[in-house]
Amino acid sequence: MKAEVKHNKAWGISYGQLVAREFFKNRLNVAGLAFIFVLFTVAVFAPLLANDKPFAIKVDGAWKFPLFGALGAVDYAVFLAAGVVIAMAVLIRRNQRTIAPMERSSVLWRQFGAAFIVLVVGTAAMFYMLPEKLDATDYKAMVAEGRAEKAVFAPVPYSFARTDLAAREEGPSGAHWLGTDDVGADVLARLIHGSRISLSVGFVAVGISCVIGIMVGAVLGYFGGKVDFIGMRFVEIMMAVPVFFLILTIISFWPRSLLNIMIIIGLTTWTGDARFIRAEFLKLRKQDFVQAAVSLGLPLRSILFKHILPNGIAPVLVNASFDIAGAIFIEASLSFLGFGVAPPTPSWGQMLSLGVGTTGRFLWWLTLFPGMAIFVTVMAYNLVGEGLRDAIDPRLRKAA
Amino acid sequence: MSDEILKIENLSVHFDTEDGVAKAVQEVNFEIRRGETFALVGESGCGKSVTALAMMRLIPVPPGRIVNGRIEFEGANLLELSEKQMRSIRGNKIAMIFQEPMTSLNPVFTIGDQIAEAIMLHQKKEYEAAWVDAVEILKQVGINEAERRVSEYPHQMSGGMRQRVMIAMAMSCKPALLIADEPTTALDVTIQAQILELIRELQKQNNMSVLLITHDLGVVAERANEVAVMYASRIVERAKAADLFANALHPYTQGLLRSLPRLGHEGRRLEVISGTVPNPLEFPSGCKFHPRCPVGHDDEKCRTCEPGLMEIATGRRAACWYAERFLKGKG
Ligand SMILES: Nc1ncnc2c1ncn2[C@@H]1O[C@H](COP(=O)(O)OP(=O)(O)O)[C@@H](O)[C@H]1O
Ligand SMILES: [Mg+2]
Repeated sequence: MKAEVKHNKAWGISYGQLVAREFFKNRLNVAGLAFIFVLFTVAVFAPLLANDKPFAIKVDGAWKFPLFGALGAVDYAVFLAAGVVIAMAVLIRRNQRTIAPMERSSVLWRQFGAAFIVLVVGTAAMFYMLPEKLDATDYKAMVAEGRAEKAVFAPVPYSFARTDLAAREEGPSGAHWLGTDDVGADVLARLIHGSRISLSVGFVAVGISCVIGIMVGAVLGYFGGKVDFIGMRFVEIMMAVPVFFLILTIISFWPRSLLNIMIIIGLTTWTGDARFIRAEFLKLRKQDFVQAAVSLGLPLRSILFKHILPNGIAPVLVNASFDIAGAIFIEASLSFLGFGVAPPTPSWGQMLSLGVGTTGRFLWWLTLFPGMAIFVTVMAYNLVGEGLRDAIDPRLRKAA
Repeated sequence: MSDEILKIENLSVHFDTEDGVAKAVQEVNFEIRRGETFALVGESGCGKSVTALAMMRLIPVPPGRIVNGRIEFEGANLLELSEKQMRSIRGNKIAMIFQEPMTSLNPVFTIGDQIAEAIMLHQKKEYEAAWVDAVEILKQVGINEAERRVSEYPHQMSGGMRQRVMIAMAMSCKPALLIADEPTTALDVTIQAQILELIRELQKQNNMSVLLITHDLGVVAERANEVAVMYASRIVERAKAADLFANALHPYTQGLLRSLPRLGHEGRRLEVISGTVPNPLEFPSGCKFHPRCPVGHDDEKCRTCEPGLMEIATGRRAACWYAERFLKGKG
């Protein structure tokens, strides 16, 4: 029997591995995930990909490295964080092979602790050691005028903030591959740096909404009864409010910063997570293993978040992928309408709004490229969300 | 007196449902002695599980409600303890195993983690020490290659194995009382005997009391010291196991006994009690067993008056108007 074979193959692997295997069977899922991975890489290394400072320049026989000097503490902190994440991923894989199961979790906690300390200390050190400094030298002019003997520039040799009034609203060319915007900034450079905004909005906003949604949903679902009844009415009221207009209203009173946008999106989009978690908790609290856990005298905290939550987190993970897509879309829409981050901070939505040029001319490259970036990113997250949902199908869950 | 580890007095549990109040357990009394096995027997839906859950204070409130009663354990009334005090009793002094081994373990944790969690909590041990204990307990409950299996997930084990793991979890803190709610109902017959034997061994080693809940009187025969037969929310007969099997005084108990296959009577047809256990919302008037009773189905007294649990002879109690008729060797 086919189901039998499947079950036997699943022998000895965890539920997570089972879901991963099912997820990777579908090419579209892989494509979506790969795109998100590329986007992350681009976001992390944005200042190395698009920068008007050269990596290295030789002036009067001496090499200088202006790009690395011009990077801010934030950039280095991002590199450090990426390094720590990769190191942890490698370590966790290695633990599986080299450390006995009984020691694994304490070793893991120690590793997490070490990673956290490295991250915090490293970031603090960078902010302390690397004060913002302005390097106003025009290295490109130096090269053009022959004052520099040799120079190595980033693949896209433009800063996202550097304006060039001589090159305003120019279409794609050899110099500016994706054209320039209303103040002559390079579109590709701004797109590359804009990926940081999109990703951080997606993750921070959804992180906030997940935490709120899980807390509210867990309490409503586990306790049920009156608590649930009153809580759900409140959630329903929240759901009836058109979120986008609520955000528009709030944002017009708040100072416009990226952090505020993230917080507002997070505070207004948790109802979906709350409902999913509530439904799971309502179902799971009656399960035998929950009753068995209670009968062992485990505290409520452990019952809710250790025994029930991991069994009911799947729909939230799926929902989170869709919500990230949604948050990116909301940020783009806000910026498109002029309620988002202020220039020169590069936002895809804000770039999109420049498609109608200052003279009323239609600048197709300012519509197409940022539009594509938003579209493909949102689609990639939706693909991953759908892939996860299919992989977590209850049919498989039974086998686990 | 002091050898009673648990004493239930007048326990009544009601559920508020949309169709009315379901009186799932009514005026139940019994006591369990140290080191002994007390069996609670009855068909499905009689209120056995609700009684057990009430002892652990695990009745879901709402819809459930313990309207009345005392549950005395080690000198304290469990029904008056705070939730925090109750948590230090659950799993530590009173442990419970459930009917469904397939669904009673958390699918996302290794069995070692699940056993270790209880040990860490009640015995204040570190994770490593608790894990070592978990391996030891798995060996005690007869799991081969315990060192390897301790880091497996529940889905990698068979039903019998999982019930052994459940027993290991329950035994991890050496409870004084083990509540086993139909521990073998979901298992194959051969495995049933092994599991019951295991419980008996652990009981002897630890001088533990056991509340054995079952719908199968056959399981009770050689294992229980005392038996209470439950029918439609009430205890209808209480006796020492030997007395009960020699001479059942309640027609319901007699029916249960007749439905058992017996050695030496292989040719005999098994009789089943006709009809089903009434739903608590539709209990019949008078004696709740009268519609199914060979004696009482057309008796005026049985139809209108509900008998309480009466002392019929020394150590023999039954809730039947005609119990004395069934008493053998009278006078
Ligand atoms: N959560 C509940 N809500 C409503 N009624 C319940 C609930 N749990 C149990 N009951 C009622 O209590 C009665 C006894 O159930 P139970 O103790 O589980 O029987 P059993 O003897 O088979 O273990 C059942 O008939 C059921 O109607
Ligand atoms: Mg039951």
